[in-house]
Amino acid sequence: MRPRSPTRIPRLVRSLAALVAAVGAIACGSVRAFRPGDELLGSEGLLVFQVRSESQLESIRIGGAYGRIPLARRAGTELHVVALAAGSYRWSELVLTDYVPPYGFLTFRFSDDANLEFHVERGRINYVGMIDVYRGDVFHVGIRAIDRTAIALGDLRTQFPDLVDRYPIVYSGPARNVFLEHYLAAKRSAEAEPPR
Amino acid sequence: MTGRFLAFAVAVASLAANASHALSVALESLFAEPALQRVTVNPSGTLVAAHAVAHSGSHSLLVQVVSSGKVSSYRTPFDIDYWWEDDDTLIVREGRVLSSSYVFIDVKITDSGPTLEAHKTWFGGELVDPLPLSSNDLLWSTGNENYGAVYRLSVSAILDPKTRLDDFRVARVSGRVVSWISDASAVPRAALVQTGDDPIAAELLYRPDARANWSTAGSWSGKTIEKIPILVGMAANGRDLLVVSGEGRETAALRNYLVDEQRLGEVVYANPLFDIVDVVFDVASSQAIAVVYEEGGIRRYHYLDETDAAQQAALDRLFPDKSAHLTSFTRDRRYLTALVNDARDPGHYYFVDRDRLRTKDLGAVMPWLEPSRLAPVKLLQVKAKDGRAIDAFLALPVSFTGSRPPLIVMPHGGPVGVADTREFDPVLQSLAVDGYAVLQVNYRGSGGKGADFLDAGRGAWGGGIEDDIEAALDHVVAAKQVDPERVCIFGASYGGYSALISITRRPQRYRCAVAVAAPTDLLLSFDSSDFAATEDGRREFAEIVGDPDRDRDHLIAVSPAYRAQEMDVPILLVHGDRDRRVDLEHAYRMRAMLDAYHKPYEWMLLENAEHSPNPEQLVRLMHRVLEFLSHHLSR
Repeated sequence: MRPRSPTRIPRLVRSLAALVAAVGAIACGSVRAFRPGDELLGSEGLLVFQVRSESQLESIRIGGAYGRIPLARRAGTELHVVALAAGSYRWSELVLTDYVPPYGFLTFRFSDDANLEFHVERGRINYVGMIDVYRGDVFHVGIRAIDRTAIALGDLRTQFPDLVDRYPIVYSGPARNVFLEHYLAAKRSAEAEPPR
Repeated sequence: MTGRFLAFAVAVASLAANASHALSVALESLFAEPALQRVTVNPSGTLVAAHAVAHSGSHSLLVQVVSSGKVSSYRTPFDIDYWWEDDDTLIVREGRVLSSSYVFIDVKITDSGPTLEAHKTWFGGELVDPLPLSSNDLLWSTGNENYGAVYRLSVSAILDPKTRLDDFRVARVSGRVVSWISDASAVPRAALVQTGDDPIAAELLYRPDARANWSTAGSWSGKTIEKIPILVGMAANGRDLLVVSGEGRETAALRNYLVDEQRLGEVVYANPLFDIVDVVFDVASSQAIAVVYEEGGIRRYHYLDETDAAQQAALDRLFPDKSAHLTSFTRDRRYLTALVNDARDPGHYYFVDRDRLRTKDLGAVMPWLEPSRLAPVKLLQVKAKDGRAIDAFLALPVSFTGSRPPLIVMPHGGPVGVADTREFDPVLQSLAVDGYAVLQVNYRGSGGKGADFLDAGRGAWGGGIEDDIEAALDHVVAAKQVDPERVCIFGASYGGYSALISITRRPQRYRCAVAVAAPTDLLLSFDSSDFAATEDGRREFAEIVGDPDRDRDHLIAVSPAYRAQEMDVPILLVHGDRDRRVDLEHAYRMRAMLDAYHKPYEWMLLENAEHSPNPEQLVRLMHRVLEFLSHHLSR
C-alpha cells in the first residue's frame, strides 16, 4: 500500500511574489488554460482536478511542468481543467494569499509523496482528484488528494457540457479508483437496455 | 427562587408551535438541548449544583441550598464541566480540554439564598484533581509535547497572578502526558506518556512515593489504542495501579497492574459476559467502589462492597422499572444525587437521603416531554444464524395505523465497538411518535460484549452483520408484532451502508431504505476519509472492513454503489457536505450509479453538516425522513 500520510512542509518560504519561487523539477510540458470549446493539441491530455480550501489560494504548481495554475482567491471548492503534455507529474507548490499578514503571498513546497503524484494520458480527460488544502499551525499547510470522481463528473457536465462526450475520461490519480470503470460500464449497459 | 431547578426554564408550547410536521410530539422538542445536564452534591450535602440550559439557549451553573431550596445561577458558555473543590467552592472549566479556561466560584449561603462570586485564574493548564476533601488545595497540571508537570496549590494561590507555579510543583516528567494518577495523599504516582502517534505508543512512568525518581513501569506499542490498559486509579494496596484491560481475557476487566513486575495482576472484578466500561470511585478514600457494564442496553453497577451494593439495591427499589445512576455522593455517602431514566424518559435528577430513603425531585432533564406519549423499548434475545446470542431492542409506538404498526429497522453506526442502548434516543422516538415500530440490533461487532463478539464483526460488512439484523427482523415478524408488509430500513454511517446493502439481500422484505452519511464504495474509504490520513487509521480500518489490496474484489462486491442494479425499492440518500469521515463522494457515487441504472431515489444534501449532524440539522433530516416513510409505508 502506498504511503498516504498528509504532506506537511516544515520549511516556510517567505516571498512577496510567488513567481520568484523556483520549481526545481525537470520540466517536460507547459500548463495551458483550457476553455469550453477548446481543442487538445497533439501531445496533450486534459488535467481535471478540484481544489478545496478554507484559505485564499493564489496558485498551484506542478513539478515537471512550466507555468502555474491560478486559483480563485477565495475559500471553497472549485473545478479546474487545463491542458498539459502527456507524462507523469506531482503537485509541488502552493501559494496562499491570506495566510499570515503582512507577508502577502506565502509559498509552500511539498516533498515527495505518492499521494500527490498523477499522470496525464494523451488525448484523454485525466481526472486526478481533489486537492484538499488544510491548515496546520501558523506556518504549516497540508494537502492531500481526495478522489471525488462522481462529483467532478457532475461539475464537468455543468461547466464543460460536451467535454465528456468529446474525450474519453480516465482516473489518473493516486487512489484505488474502480468507480469510473463501473460507472461507464453501467451507462453502456443501461443505454443498451432502455429504462422499463 | 425555590423548589425544583427548572421551574422557570420550560416552554413546551413554543417548542410545539415550531413543529411543521403533524406529530403528536414536536420533533423540535425531542432534539432540544437537555435543560439539566449534570447534577452533583457538595461533600457535606448542603448544596447541589447543576449545569442548566434555559429555553433561550443560555447556559448556566445553578447552585441550590438543599435545606431551603433557594437557587442562584452563574452564566457560562455552552461547553463546560465542573467539580466541587470543597464544600463551598466550585471549579468550572469553560471550553474543551487543552483550550479551556477555569473559573472558581465561591458559594456563600445567606438568608436570601446562595451568593456566587466568580474568580478567573490566569494560569494555563488543566485541573488534575479538585481534592474535595483537602483543605482548599487542588492538583493542577501544565505540559506540552515535551513535558508534563503537576502542582499542588491552594485556590487562593492559583487565583493570584503573582504566584510562581514552580514553587508548588510536586511532579515533572518528560514527554506528552496523557493522564496522571495520584494516591490518597494526593501525591502524583503514575503518568501515562504518549510516545508515538502512528502507531499509537505509550510508556507508563511510576514512582513509589513523592521523593522517589520516576521509572518506566510498562510500555506499549500496540496496533491500536485499545491494546493499552486504561489507567483508572491506585490499587487497594496503595502501591500498584488499577487498570481496565481486556488483554488475555474474553471481556475487559478491572485489574491490578503490578508495577514492579510490569504486568497485569489479579482481576478485581470481571463480568463473564460484559466489558467494564466505567469505574466509580469514593470521594473520601479514592478507592474504586463500583464498576459499570452494559447489559441489554442498560448500564448496570456492580459494587465491590456489600454496603454499597445494598445502597444501589435500595435506590433500585425506590425507582422500579427505571434505571438509577449515581451522579455524586457526600463524603459520608449518606446523601446522593441520582439520575433516574429509561428509554421513554431522558430522566429526572433526585436528591436522595440514603438513611431515611427519602428522595427530592431536583428536576427533569427534558421537562417538556411527556414520557407516556413516547415508546417503551423492550429487549429481545435473538439467536443468530450461527447460534450466537444477539440483543435487539423493539420500540412499539403508542398509536399507529392498521392492526399492527409498520416497522423501521434501524442498524447503528460503527460498526465495530459501538452499541445501541435502551436509554432515551430522540431519533428512535421521533419515528415511534409518528406511529412506527423501531427495531435496533446489537449485531456482532457491537461493543460491550467481549473480544470474541467484537472480533466477529470484523470483515463482516454485508455478511455476518446483516445476517444478525435479518435474524432479529425475522424474530419480530414471526412474533406478529409488526406489519410484515410495511418494513423500511433506515440508518446513518454504517447503518446507512447496512440499509443499502440490505435491500439487495432481501429486496422483497423492504419497501424502502434511508441511508444517511453512508459509505457506498468501501475502497474509496481508504483514500478519502479523515482516518485514512494516517497509516494507523488505514490499518485499523482494514482490520474492520478488510484489506484494500488482498480483499479488493470482496470489498467491491459488498459496496452498495456497485450493487445499484439490484436496488429496486425507493431510496432516500442524505449526506452532509462537510462530512470528512465518510466523504460526500460516497453519496454522489451511489447517486451516479442509481442514475445510470434508472433506479428510483430521493436526494437530500445537508448543508454545513459534518458526519454527525447537529440538532437543528437532525430536525430537518427527520422531517424529510418522516415524509419519505409516510409516502412509502402508507397502506
